[in-house]
Amino acid sequence: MTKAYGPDAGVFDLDIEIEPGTIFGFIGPSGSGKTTTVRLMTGVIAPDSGEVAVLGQSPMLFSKDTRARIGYLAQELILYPDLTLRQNLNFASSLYGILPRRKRTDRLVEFMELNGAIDRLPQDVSGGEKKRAMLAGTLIHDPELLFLDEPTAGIDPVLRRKFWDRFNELASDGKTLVVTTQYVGEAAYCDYVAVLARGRVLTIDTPDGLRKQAFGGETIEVVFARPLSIDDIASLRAIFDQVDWMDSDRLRILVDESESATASVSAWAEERGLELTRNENYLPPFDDVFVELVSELDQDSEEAPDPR
Amino acid sequence: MRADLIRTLGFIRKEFVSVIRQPRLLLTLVVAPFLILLIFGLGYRADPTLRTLLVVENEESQLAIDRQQLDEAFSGAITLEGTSSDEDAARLMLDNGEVDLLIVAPDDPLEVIQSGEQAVFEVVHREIDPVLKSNIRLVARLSVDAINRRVVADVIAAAQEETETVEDPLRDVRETSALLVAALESGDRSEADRHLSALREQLEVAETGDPRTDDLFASVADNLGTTKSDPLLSVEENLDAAESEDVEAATEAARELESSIGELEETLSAARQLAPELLVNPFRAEIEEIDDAPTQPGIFYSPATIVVLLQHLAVTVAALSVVRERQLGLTEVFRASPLGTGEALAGKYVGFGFIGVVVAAALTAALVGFGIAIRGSLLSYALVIVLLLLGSLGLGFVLSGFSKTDTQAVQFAMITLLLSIFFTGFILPLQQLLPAVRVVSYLVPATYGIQGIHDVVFRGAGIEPVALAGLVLYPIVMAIAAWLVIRRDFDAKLG
Repeated sequence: MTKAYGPDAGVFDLDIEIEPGTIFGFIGPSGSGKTTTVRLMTGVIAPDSGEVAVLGQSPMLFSKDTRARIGYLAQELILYPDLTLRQNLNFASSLYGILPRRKRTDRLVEFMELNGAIDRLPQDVSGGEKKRAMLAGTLIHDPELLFLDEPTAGIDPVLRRKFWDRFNELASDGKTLVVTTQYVGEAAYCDYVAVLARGRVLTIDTPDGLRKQAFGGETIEVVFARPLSIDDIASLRAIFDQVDWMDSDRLRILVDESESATASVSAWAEERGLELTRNENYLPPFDDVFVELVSELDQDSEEAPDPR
Repeated sequence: MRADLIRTLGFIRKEFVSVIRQPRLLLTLVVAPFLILLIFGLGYRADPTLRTLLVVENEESQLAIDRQQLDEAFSGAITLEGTSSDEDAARLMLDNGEVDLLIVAPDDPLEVIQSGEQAVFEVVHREIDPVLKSNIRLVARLSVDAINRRVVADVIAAAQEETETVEDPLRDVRETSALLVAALESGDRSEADRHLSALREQLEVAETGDPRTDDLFASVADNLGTTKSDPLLSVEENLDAAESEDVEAATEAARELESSIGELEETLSAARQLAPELLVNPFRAEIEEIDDAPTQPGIFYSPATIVVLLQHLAVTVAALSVVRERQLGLTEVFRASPLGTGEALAGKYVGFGFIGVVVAAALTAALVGFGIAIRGSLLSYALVIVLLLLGSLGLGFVLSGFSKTDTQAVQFAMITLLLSIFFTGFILPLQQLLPAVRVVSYLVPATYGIQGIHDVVFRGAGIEPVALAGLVLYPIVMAIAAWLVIRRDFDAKLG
């Protein structure tokens, strides 16, 4: 599907399938098309072309019953300023045709750790509490499919972690979550991740798969008890094609498969009488993964012939 | 409970709580304008009193008017600050704002009138307000009319005094006429001739006693509707006939003569007894007010004020509610939810309508507290209020479609308020507007509300059919328009 706001704004040629019961993340910088994608999937906006099917229906033709199976957390902090958080929750409940029930509200308040803030006006609570109240409002009707647009934006790392813990709990309850984030590191919490840039999907894969895609394989990090000699280095390079020296006693090696590679490194060190202080699989930060993937896209764009 | 009903109830509760949590909004929308209009109503005088200075340069003027005459003429429209014989000094006082009006009496009015022209009272002012200018023109015309009547009354009074000079000669004529009749009836011709001769002499005295008496007789006789255009001519004719040799004809003529003189005497007596003021003001108007509406502006404007305030409240909260939801970003939450346009609108109508009814009840209690009775049925009154609120809420929702920000929504509400003041019959009657301009009036719900509430409160009748039709149709049309406008917020294909 395509939705264009300008030559480089919107989403273009999006082709995604999301498996039920998974956490599917859209990762990309601001303006990459994450929010537009979610809006297209929730029926908030109509696509220019292409088809979207969510729960078997086009979002433009969602029945009320289908909408009631979906929960949507918008990116902005949307709460009625004159209603307390509890009243906002009750209103959200009524939108889905459910009479406010104290028991369910209290359970969500507990789940979102909102006990002290629930009867206060939005102006009297923190940004994180507002966000949690909104998330509680999204969950109030117990939806099976959740669209969460940048739920962790603007909140502290501790709370972000708690949010992801909640998302994982929801996923383990069988719910499907579509989550957008500009925190690339949060890709690690997802089952599948679509990397977006300039309105296009660069790739869709598992978090590990993304790392492999970005760097061409897995990475192991090796640290020695003392600096290596030139002979040691030459010997290692004879075994592994890509060795990056981080320091005189520390290096990272790109390998096809980390388990067998660490065993090979251990054998090689023992043979040369070298003591290892670390020899393990290294997970490069997703920021690096993302940067790598985006630079590959830029490279491809430059290499591609000009359509004009 | 049905899901759609729960959604509507959710909106009702939300809108109600939202407004209750904004006491300042209610204060600025209802209480503040109410107080402003209350102060205006209590302090406004429909007939302003103009501080006036009478300028009489020629104090010897034969038509110099006195203070009492002027006070009577203006009957409260002016307060006479004093008189001046120096017109230049008086104009300086006018320039300095010490007085509002100068009335400059003519120097020698009698001479002007005798030359066949009207004498002029000059009314000088510096007013720029067209309403006050119109008042001054009216006051000037009424005052000169009053002065003219006073002069005519004085002339009549003088004439009445003069009729007393012919009273005795006429009595002599009548008594001699009776003796003439008696002489002719007894056949004593010589005695009759003697009385005839005496009669001619007495008539000459009565006729020539005053040069104006003859005219006076004629005019009085005309005014009193006597059958004879000139009673003295009739007397003369009968006198000539009484000299006839035919005794029977002479006797008949003498009787006619006696009757004519008696009639003339009665006519003059009646003329003397009529007050000069009555003669110059023979007619007066008596106004019968079928509905007996209050004359105090404060009372008259109060029910219409409630209509305008309720409309303003409803238009503002309705428009702001939708625009704020749009600004907050709730539109996309609504689109993603099962909420329908009709459910949201119904909730807003009921929620805000309920608040409007509560405010209307409070304002009506204040109305009754000020001693204004609702003559019609309370049911009709409630019907007007509810239909007005529904129409106004619909207008507010429609206006929200043209507002991108809450500032624009408030501006639209203020424009509607401004239209209500000038085009709805709130201050100026609708009849004073050109029919083409009245189209604007019919776009504003207060037009129907004011007409309806006047019918109920002051006429004590049912709502006039045209107003009732407007009150019923307007909310329906606006509800459809509002649904079309709000639907854009709920449907991605339209938004």
